[in-house]
Amino acid sequence: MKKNEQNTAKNKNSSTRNIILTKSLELINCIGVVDFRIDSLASSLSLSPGNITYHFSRKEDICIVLWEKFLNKLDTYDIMFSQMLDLKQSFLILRSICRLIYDYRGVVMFRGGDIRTIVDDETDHRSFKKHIHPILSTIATWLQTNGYINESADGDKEIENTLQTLIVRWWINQAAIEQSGISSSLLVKETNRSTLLLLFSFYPLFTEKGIREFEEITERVKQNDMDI
Amino acid sequence: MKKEVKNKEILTSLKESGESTKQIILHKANEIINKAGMVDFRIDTLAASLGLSPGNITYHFPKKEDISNALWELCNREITAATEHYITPLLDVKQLFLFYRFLVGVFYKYKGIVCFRMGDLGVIHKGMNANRIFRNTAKEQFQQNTEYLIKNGYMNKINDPFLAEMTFLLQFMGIGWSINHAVSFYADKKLPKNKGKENEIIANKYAHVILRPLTPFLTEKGKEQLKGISSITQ
Repeated sequence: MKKNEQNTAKNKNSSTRNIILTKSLELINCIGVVDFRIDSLASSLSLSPGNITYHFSRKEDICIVLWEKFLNKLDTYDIMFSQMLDLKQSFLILRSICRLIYDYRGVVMFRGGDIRTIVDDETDHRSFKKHIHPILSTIATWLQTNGYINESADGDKEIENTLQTLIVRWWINQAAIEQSGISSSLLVKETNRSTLLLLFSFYPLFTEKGIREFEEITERVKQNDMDI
Repeated sequence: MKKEVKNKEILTSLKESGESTKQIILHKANEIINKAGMVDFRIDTLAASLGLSPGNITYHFPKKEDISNALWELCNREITAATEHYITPLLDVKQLFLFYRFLVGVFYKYKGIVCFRMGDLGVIHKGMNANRIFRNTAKEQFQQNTEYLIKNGYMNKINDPFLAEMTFLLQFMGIGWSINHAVSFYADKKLPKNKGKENEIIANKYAHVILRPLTPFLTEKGKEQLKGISSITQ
């Protein structure tokens, strides 16, 4: 009986933790990390601040857990690649990544916004670039193998990688500036447009085949018809 | 009493450099924010670093947001001055590269503030009007740059308005977030100890990143110029 009671307590603890994390993400996605407060979180869950700090001593601990959840989800994308990768599939994978960034936007934006946090993430091996580089690199390799893009000149590789990482990471900040907040009704339009922007970063390297497929995808995005 | 005398002596010696108290505070604040970030920046830490009391600081800047706004204003003033200097009807690819290089250099000088202003969701929301003005001003500037380059034979016109918009957005994102990227990219890499050299590496790299979206639309004359720049700077 005692063991069952212990298990129930453990489950209750982990579900309280999850509830805290879910609500935190919801709040941070509205107001950002800087204005996020433990006491506001507590009151939104009808808990005392002590209930929160029992699980997470500081708001930074909540942010780090959410950030690591995001990075772990990003790591699952490597199973989506196949040798038949074309521009359309690249578009869909990249759009899915953009959606993931949207779902964690408050945390993602902050982690890339504060200098101390950026440096700490690099030092503690939880940087965005370490997780996104393999994905972008795989996409570029398969697109080249399958004839959609040409090989880039040696000196240009780093420039292209930088531009692509920049877009995939900071499209959400750009969208936040374009719109006054990112409502769900604008989400589809913004993620489609931003994903297209990511593909457009390959434009200097496109083959004829690449240009044709890019133009087709562009037409579908313009018409907002995304069943591709 | 002793502390007051000491503070007065320190301030006097700082002012001998010709800077006003406000300028001295902003200069030091920028230095601290560039290392510690805006979130961990504190008025009392700033005061202590200058041998002042927090009251001396809040007399000029009641809250740390006022310091952030003042630094952002300084940054924008330098950008405006640079634009007037670099962008003329004689614009070519080299001059545009130098302009972007200067822009990146200025943003890097204020990197703590720049990263933060363009970073946190809440901060972006609060600065929405200023951000919109920044974006719209940038768009007008890009359009003018493009017109000059086309007129001077370095670039072809981008006939598709959708492609033209995406070209602008890529450049805007390059300018807006190259500093955030640089801080992340170079966090685990060794940069030269010489600050001038460090700035040069970052400014050259990100000027190329911002120029990159224009490359499909450059004429042969434009591509030749870009090749020449790359051979020196990459």
